[in-house]
Amino acid sequence: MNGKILNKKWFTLFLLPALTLYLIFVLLPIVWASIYSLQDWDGIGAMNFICLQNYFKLFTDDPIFWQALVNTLVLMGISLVLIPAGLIMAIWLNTKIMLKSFFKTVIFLPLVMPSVVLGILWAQIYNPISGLLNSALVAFGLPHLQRAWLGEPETALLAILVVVLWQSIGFYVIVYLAGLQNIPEEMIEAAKIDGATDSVITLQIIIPLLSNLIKFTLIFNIITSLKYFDLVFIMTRGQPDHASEVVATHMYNQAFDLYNYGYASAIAFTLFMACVFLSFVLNRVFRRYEY
Amino acid sequence: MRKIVMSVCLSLLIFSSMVMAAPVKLSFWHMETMEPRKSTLETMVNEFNRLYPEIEIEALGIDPSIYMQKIQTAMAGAQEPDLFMFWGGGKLKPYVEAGKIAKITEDFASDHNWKSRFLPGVLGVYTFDQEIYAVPGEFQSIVMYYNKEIFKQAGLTVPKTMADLEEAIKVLKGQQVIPIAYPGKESWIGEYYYDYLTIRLAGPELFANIINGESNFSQDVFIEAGNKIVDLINLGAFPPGYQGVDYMTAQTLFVTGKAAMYLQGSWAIGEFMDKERMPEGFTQRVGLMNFPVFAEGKGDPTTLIGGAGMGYVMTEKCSNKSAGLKFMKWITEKPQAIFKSESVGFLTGVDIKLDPNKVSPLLLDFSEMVSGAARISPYFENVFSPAVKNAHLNAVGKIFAKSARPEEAVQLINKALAEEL
Repeated sequence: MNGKILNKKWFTLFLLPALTLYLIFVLLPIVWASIYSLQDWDGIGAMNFICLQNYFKLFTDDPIFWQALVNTLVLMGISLVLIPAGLIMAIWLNTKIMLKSFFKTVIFLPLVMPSVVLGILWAQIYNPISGLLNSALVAFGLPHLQRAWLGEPETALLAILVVVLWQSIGFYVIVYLAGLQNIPEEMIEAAKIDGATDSVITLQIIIPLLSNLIKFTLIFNIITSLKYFDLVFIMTRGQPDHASEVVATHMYNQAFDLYNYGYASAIAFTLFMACVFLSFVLNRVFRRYEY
Repeated sequence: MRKIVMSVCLSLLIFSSMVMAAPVKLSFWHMETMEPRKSTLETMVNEFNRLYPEIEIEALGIDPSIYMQKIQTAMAGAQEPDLFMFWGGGKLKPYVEAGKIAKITEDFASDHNWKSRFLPGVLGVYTFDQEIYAVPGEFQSIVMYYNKEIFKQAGLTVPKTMADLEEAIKVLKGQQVIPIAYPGKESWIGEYYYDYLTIRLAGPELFANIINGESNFSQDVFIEAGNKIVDLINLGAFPPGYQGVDYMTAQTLFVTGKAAMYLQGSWAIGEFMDKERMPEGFTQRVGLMNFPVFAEGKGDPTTLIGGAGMGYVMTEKCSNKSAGLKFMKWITEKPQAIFKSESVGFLTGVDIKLDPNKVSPLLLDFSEMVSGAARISPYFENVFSPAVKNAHLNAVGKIFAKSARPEEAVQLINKALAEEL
């Protein structure tokens, strides 16, 4: 039996259903998008082959794309905080603390709520007239700090970022908690008997043992930030004046508001290539730190 | 044996009668998912299906936020419905050019009863190259609402000119009332301010001249209109933090009497009919006024920005066009138009007489305003392509956010316009 499963023919057979689905729903659309990206196409009428002109326009003549790219990179950079923050919270939740399940619930709750609900909820909190945030500022005697949080170019992206961080932290905590629970108690106890302090245990035992998970979450974090879409779309649609535009919302606007399907495909394909490139580079870098 | 023959005959009979009675099924997509528009449309569709048992309209309501996307993807994948509701002008044009939409020109011209129902000019937005592609389901304009009670308390009269308006803003500010409830988060509403200002300054021929290539957006009127917006912002015409104020918040400010004026589509008349949300006696306190003119401007005070909005469209793919046409004709008949006006507070583009006891008083006011209008100037998006319209949206957004001076902002529109040509 063992021999049969390891047999390559059987391997392919069992993989076939999943592979077919993957081919049809993931690989083929990517190939199509790359073809569309070379066309001048409104999504309905005839396609007109224009070679690399869409890409040329994207990189040389689209200030909104650059703005969106900068915003996406800001989002990516700031959401890297989630990794140490998630790790610290997971370690904290893994110790014996009071109200443990309460804190767990509080941290996980935003993760299980749909983004649409969160977006609408937070848009109300940020509402300059009836919103909780501005009212709270007044109540605390800080009325001069009141702002139109989602309406001002200086604060819109930041205001969304706070919600993104709040929403996604739960995922990192779950992953790390699962990892922590796999570390055998005996190992920690043995270290304690040998006189290791908590910080030594954390830095030299726990983190190295979680290194595979940290790698995974880092790649996951970078890729999700690159293609981030939902809360931006729900809360501001990239406004005001594209101050909160990210690459994915720019792509959406091009495809569905402006009927530039070919151009939007060029954005999509660029985004895809960026994701592939980054995961490749990160994997290479991590290979050196294999434990 | 006889039993078998009998039962075969019987089942054949049942089967054949089923075949004969099987109605023509037509899919119909719309975005009337909010009350009272939802139940109004459902009632009409059910009534049609009852009256014409040989046709079955299968209506599907799609949420407005994804409607465009749904239509776009369906069209791209050749999965479009037989009938759907859609805007005219620049939004419909790409589908017409791609040959996706059925022409109704001949049927329309040959059926006098159908043709004569509509108000003059309303079909313009559905007409491309002299061919008609849709019939209107609603007629909307952008109007200025004001709170009569607040005006009376402040001793103000309805402002006729820009100078009057600015004076009124100062007085209202002094009384701690927000002068105009502008939802700055919805930049598409900012466009209406900008368009009204430009057509009041230059007259409605302005856009036609641009389309003909005789002019562009670098004219002084566009910069002047932008400067006027900046003036209004500096005067404090809009709510504090107006850039973060969304549609509902602005409407709440107006209906609760915290704001004195409100520039919005006539669709708000329908929204004001929602008794659960509106304060007692609210409709009596609201008046409609024309957008103020400039003393030195060329625009007429009664000209409205507006036109037919969502219409009934049939696709080229429709499996039974004569059944589709029957539905388009029936739903734009006068009784149905009256029913719609009474239940949702819309004008429909059909020439009907409204019963003052049955419709919202605001709808009567609006209807008078429309018949008294020197001209209906089309929405910007019905004149220009999506790309120019988007540049216009961005430019106006920049002016309201004060992130660009008006002279810089209008260059964005010029750039998009130049790329078209």
